[in-house]
Amino acid sequence: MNADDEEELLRSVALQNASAILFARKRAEQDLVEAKERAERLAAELRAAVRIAQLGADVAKALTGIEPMADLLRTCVEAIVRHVDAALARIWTVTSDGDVLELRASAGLYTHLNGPHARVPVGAFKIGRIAEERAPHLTNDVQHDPRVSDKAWAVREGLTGFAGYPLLVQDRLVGVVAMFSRAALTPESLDALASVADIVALGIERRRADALRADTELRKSSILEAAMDCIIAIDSDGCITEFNPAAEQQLQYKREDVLGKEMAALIIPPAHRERHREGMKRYIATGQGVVLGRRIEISALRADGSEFPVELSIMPMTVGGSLAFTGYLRDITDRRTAEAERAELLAREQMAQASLATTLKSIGDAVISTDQNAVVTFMNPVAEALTGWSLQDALGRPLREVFRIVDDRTRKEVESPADQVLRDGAVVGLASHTVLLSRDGRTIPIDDSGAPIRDEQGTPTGVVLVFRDVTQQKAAADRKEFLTEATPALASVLDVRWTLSRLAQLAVPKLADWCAVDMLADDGVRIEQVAVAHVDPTKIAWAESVRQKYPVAPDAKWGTPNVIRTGQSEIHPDVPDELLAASAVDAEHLRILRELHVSSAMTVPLLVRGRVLGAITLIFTDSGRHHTNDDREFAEEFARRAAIAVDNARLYESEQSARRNADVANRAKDDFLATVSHELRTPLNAMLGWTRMLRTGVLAPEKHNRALETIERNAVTQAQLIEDLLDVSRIISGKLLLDVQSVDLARIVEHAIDALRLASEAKKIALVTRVSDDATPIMGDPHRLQQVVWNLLSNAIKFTPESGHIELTVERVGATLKVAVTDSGRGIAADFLPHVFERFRQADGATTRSYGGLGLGLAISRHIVELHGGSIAVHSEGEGRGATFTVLLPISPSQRADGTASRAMTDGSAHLFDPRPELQGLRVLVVDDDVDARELIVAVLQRCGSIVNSAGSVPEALEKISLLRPDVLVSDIGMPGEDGYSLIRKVRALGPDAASIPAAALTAYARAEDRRKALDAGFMMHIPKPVEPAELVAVVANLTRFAVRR
Amino acid sequence: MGQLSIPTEPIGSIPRPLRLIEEIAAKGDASDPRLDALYDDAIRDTIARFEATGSPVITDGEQRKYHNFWTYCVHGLTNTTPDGFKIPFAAGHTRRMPQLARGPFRYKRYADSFLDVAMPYAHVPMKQAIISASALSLMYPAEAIPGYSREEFIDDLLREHETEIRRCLAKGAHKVQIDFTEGRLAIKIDPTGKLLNSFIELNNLALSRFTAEERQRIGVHTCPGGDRDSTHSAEIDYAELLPCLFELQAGNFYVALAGETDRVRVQKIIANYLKPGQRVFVGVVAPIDPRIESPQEVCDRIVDAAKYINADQLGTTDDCGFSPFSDDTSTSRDAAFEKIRARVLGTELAAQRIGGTPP
Repeated sequence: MNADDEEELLRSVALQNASAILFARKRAEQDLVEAKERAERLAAELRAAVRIAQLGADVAKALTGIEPMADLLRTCVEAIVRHVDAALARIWTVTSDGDVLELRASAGLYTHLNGPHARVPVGAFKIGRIAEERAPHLTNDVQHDPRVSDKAWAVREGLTGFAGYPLLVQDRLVGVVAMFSRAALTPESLDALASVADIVALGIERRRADALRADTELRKSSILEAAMDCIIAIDSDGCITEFNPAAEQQLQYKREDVLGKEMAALIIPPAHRERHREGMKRYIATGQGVVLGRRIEISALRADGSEFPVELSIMPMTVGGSLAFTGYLRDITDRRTAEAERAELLAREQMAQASLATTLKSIGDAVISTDQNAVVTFMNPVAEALTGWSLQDALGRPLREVFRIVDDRTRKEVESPADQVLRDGAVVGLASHTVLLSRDGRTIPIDDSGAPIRDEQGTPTGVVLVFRDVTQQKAAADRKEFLTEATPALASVLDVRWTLSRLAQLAVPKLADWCAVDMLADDGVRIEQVAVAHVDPTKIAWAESVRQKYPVAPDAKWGTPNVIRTGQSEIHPDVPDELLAASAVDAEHLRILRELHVSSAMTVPLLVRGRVLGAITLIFTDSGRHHTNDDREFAEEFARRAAIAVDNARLYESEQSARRNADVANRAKDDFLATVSHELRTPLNAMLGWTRMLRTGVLAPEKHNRALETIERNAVTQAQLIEDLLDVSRIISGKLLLDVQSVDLARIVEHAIDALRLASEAKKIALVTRVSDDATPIMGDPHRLQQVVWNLLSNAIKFTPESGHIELTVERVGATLKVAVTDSGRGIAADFLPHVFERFRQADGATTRSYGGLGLGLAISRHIVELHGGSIAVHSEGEGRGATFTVLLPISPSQRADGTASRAMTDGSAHLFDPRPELQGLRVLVVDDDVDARELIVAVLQRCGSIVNSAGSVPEALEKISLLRPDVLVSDIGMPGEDGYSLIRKVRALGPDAASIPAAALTAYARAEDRRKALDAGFMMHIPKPVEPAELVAVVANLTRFAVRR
Repeated sequence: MGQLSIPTEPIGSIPRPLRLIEEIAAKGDASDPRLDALYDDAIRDTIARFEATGSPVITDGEQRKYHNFWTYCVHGLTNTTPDGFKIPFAAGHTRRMPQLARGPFRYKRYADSFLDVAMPYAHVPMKQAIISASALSLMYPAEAIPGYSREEFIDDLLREHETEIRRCLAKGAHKVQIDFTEGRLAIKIDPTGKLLNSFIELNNLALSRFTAEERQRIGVHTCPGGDRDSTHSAEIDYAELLPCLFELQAGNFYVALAGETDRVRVQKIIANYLKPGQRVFVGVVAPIDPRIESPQEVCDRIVDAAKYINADQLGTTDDCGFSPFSDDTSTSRDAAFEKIRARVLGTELAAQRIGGTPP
C-alpha cells in the first residue's frame, strides 16, 4: 500500500467514525436534557432547603452576637422575609408585667414600629390571642381567616399565608413572632419558622438577663466610686451615662454636666473624634471592634481644652437590653514622661553603643569582650579574622575556646588573659612568645592587652581584650635579634667544626626543629654531615644512624646535593607523602621518613666568595610549622653569615697550620743547629785536647799513638759531617751535580759492606747480602750512589742492636733495580715515618739521643736517588720491629766503570796546654758517654794533679758519687738514656753532701739557652765544647770555691 | 525562584537515558520487571533535573510511556494487530499504529499509573499528558469488526478516555494534557476539514463529561508532530487548525509556536479565536531545533506574543515533547533540560517586563 492509499484509507476510517461520533453526540445531548431537568428539580428543592437552613443560621448568628435587642430582633424579621418569602414579618415582646406586647421589630411591607400594632394587649387581635393561648396560629387562607381583622388589606396586598408563634421559654411568654406571605406556606417553611421562634425566644430572654445583670453590676459597684481611674459609661449613641469622681478630677468636668452628652465631643480630641464615632457605628453594625477589650493609648481632652495622654480600655455591655460601653481611662502623663526619659536614655545608650560598636569595628586592632565568666560577648571583624571564629559562632563560648594562645617555644597553652584579668583585676599584657591558634589552624603571633570591664560601682563585669597580629613585626624582630645574636656567636669561634656545630645549635628551634649542616669535602665530591641539632637531642643519634643506613647520594636531584651543586636554595613549604615516597629508597626508608612527621623542609647553601662550602638543612617536624619564602630569605642571610664565619675559621685554621708547620720547621732547624754544633764540637774536643797534650809534651810517649789515632778518627768524622752539610747546601742551592757513568751497583754494595764490616762485626750483627744475577749496571754517579748505600747500611748498623741482623739485597724489578736494606733494629714510629726523609728531622731530637750524626743522611740520600730518577721509601711495622729502606733506580743500558770517592781528611792546628798542679788532690768525677772526650778530660785533670774518676752514663756516675764522694763533678749533657740535666737533679736530691758538690756542665750544647738550662738544672758552671785544657782546669779550679770542705 | 506571573508548563517527554533504551531493546519487553529499577532511576533523575531547571510544573518525562505518546495505553493489547495506520514524518520515516481486531475496546493501562510512580519523587506540581480520543479512534479498521460496531467502539473509547482523565485528576495531576497532534495531520489527510471536525466533535464529547472547573485543569496540545527532529504536518497552515482547535471545550491549549516560520501570523490567529476563560500556552522553545535558545530570546518571543495575545490568557510551553517516541535519541537529555531552563528563565524575564496573572 502506498502513502496515498494509506491516507485514503485513514480518511475513510475517520469519516466512518464521524457518523458514529454524531450518534454518540446526539445521545449525549439527550442525556444532557434529561440531566438538566433532574438537576433543576433538585436545585429547587435544594434552594428551599438552603433558604430555610440559612434562616436558622442567620437568626442563630444574630443571637450569638451582642447587638442590642432591637437590632437582634430586626435581624430576625429581615431573615424571615428573606428566606421564607414573607411579605411581612414582625416580633413583639411582652412587657415585664406580662400584659402588653410591644412591637420591637418589623420587616417586609412595613418597618415602622409605631401605629395600631405597636402595643397589643395580650388577648387582643390575633397576635394577642396567640400570646394568650400560647399556641401557634397557621393558615394559608388569610383572606378568609376569622382572626384577620382587616381582610381588605389582606386582599389588597395579595396575602395568602399567615403563621404566628408564641415566643416561649419554658412556658414563660416572652413575645410573639408572626409573618404574612403571598404564597402558600409549605410545611418546611412552618417547621423552619417554628424552630426560629424557639431561638428568638431564647435570645430575647438572654438579652434581658444580660442587661439586668450589667445594669446592676455597674450601678452597685463601689469600685466605680473609689476607682483611681476614670470610668465613663456611654450608651449605644455614645452619650455619657456614668462619670465617676476620678473622671471628674482628671477631666475637670462635673458629673451632672456631662451626663447625657456625647462623650466624643467632650473628651476625645478632634483629630480622633470621627474615627471613634465610626468605630462605634461599625461595632454596632457588625459586632467588630478594633479597640474593644484592648488597652490603647490615646490623648484625652480636659474641660479646659488641654490634652493629656491616657490609657483607655473599652468594654461593651448590655444595659437594660441595650448596648452600652464602659471606658476606663488612666492619666499616663507621668508614665509617658518617665518613658520618654527612659527612651532618651536608651537612645543615647544605643547611640553610644552603636558608636562604640562602629568604632570597634573600624579600628585595626582585634577586640573581644567577655562577661565575668570569661564567656565571649562581643568580637569585632578583626578579631573574627584573626581567631577564625565568626561573632555568631563565638558568642556564648568560653574565651579560652575562641582565643587560644600558646607559648611559641613550648607550644603549651598559656593561661587565658581573661582569667588573669578577672583574678587580678588589673590590666595585663601577654607574655612574649605568645601566639594565637586560630580556629582554622593558623598560628599568629600577637601583641595584646587585657583589661577589666567595670560597672559604675567598679565591680568587674567582664574583660576586654585588644590584640593585633604582629607576625611581620615579630618575624622581623626575631630575625634581627637572631642575626644579632648569631653573627657574633659564629664569628667568635675560629674552629670550623665548632663553628658548624654552633651554627646548627643556633638554628634550633628558631629556624627549625631539626638542623643539619653538610659540608663539601676537600675532594669536592663527597658530602659530609658535620653538625646536627634537634629540639629533641635524643633523636640526633637516631638520625645519624638513619643517615648512615641511607646515605644521601651525591648526585641526588634534590636536597643537599642539589643545593651544593647549584648554589640555589630549595624550599618545601609542605612535605606531602608523595615527596617522601619519591625520596625513599625502600619501604623501610619510607616508613622512617613518615615517622619523622616532617611538615616542612628547606635547604640553603653556605655560599661565600662565590664558592659553595656546604648547605644547611632546616626541617620542621612535630611543631607543625611551615617554611615561607620570608623564612627562606632569612635562612639564606643566616647561611651567608655562617658561611663567612666558616670561611674565616678555615682561613684561621689554615694560617694556624702554616704557623705550626713553620714552628716545627724552626724547631727542627734549631734542633739541627744544636745537633750540628754538638756533632762538630764533639770530635773537635777530642782532637784539640789530644793535640795540645801532645804538643805540651805532658803525654807519656806510649800514649802518643793512641792520641794520634783518636785525633785522626775524629777528624774523619768531622770531615764527613762537614761533607754532609755541604751536600745539603748543594741540594738547597740546586748545585748538587751528578757525575753520571755506568755503575755496577753490586760493586758499590760490596764496597759499602767492606767499609762497614768492622762496625757490624763489632756489634755482632749478621749482615747478609744478596745480589741478584740480573742486577745489571745502571747509569749514575758511583760516588753518590755509594753515599746512599753507605748511609742506609750505616744507619742500619747504627740502629740495630748487638746480635741483630741486616739484610741488603739488590735485584731487578721490572725496569728498575731495587736496593733494599732491612734491619732488625729499633724500627720507626708510625708518626715519624712521613718525616724520615726530611732535612733536619730526627726521630730522637732530644738531648738524650742515643745516636750521633746530623740526621741529614736520609735527606741527602733521597735527593741523590731522585736525581737519578729513582725513588726511596721506608717501611716499618713500628718501633722495635725493624725497618726496610728500599731504593728503586731506573736501569740504564749503558755502563761505565765505577769509582769510589775517598773522604777528605781535615787538619787543624792545636793550642798549647800548660798544665799546672793547682788541682792537686782534688777528687773529680768526669761523666761523658763519649770515650774520647772522657779520656781527654781525665788526662787533662790528672795532669793537674786531680784524682780523676770517670763514668760513661748517669747511673754509673750516681753510683760513683755515692762511693767516692768527689769534690767536683764535670759532666756532659747529651748522653744516651739519661742526660746531664737528669744527673745533676738526682745529685742535688741525694742529700746535703751530694747536693753541695760543685758541678760543671761540659757540653757541646753551647747556646745561651743551653747554658741557662744547665744552670737552672743545678750545674754551677757551663763549659761549651770544645774546651781548652787550661780553661777546663780553670773552671774546675773555680768550682772548688763552692766545695764544702769535709 | 519565586512564582512566575506568566504560567509555564512543559509538554511531557524527556529523552530516556541511553542505558534504559538499550536495556529495553535487550529485554525485548518494556514491562519486564527487571527494568523496574532502571525506570525508577530514570524517573527519579528526570524529576530531580526537571526541578533543577526551576520549572514550576514538571512531568515524569514520560520515562515509562511505551512505546510512545500515542499507543502507550493500548500497547500490548491482545485484541490488536500491529498493522495499523502509518504516520509519515517529513524526515521520511513512519510510525505505525496498532489496529483493533475485535471488541471490546479497553485500555491496557491508564496514564495515572505513571503518576503513581513519579509523584513521590516530586516536590512541585506534576502534569500528565494523555492521548486524545480522536487519535485512538483511528484504531478501528475500515471494515467493521463483526459483533463490535463502530458505535460501540466510540462509546467504549469515550468511556476509557474519560476514565483516564478522571483518574489523573483524582491523583492530583496539576493539569491533564490531551495530546492532539493529529489535528494538523487531519487537515493534511483531509483538506475538506471534515476529518478535523469529526476529531473536534469526538474530543468535545469527551470534554463535555467534565465540569467547567475540571476543564480548567484539562488542556489540549497541538503541534506538527515531533520525532527524530522531524515533523509530520508542519506544512499545514495553522489558520486551518486553530479556529477549530479553540472550539474544544478545554481550559488550556498548548500550541507549538517557536518552530513556526511566521509566528506573528499565528499569534494573530490565536488572538482572534481564543475564547474568554481559555488560556493558550505558546511554545517558546523548539525541541526539533538542536540550538538551545537563550532566556533573552525566549523572553523576546513572549513579549512579542503578548503584543497580540492578552497577557492574562498567555502561558508558555515547549513546542512539543522532547522525545515523544521512546527510542528517539535525536535530542540529548542535557539539551532538553537546558531548553526547559531557558523557557523558565525567559518566561520569568518576560513576566518582569510585561507582567501577567498568577498561574
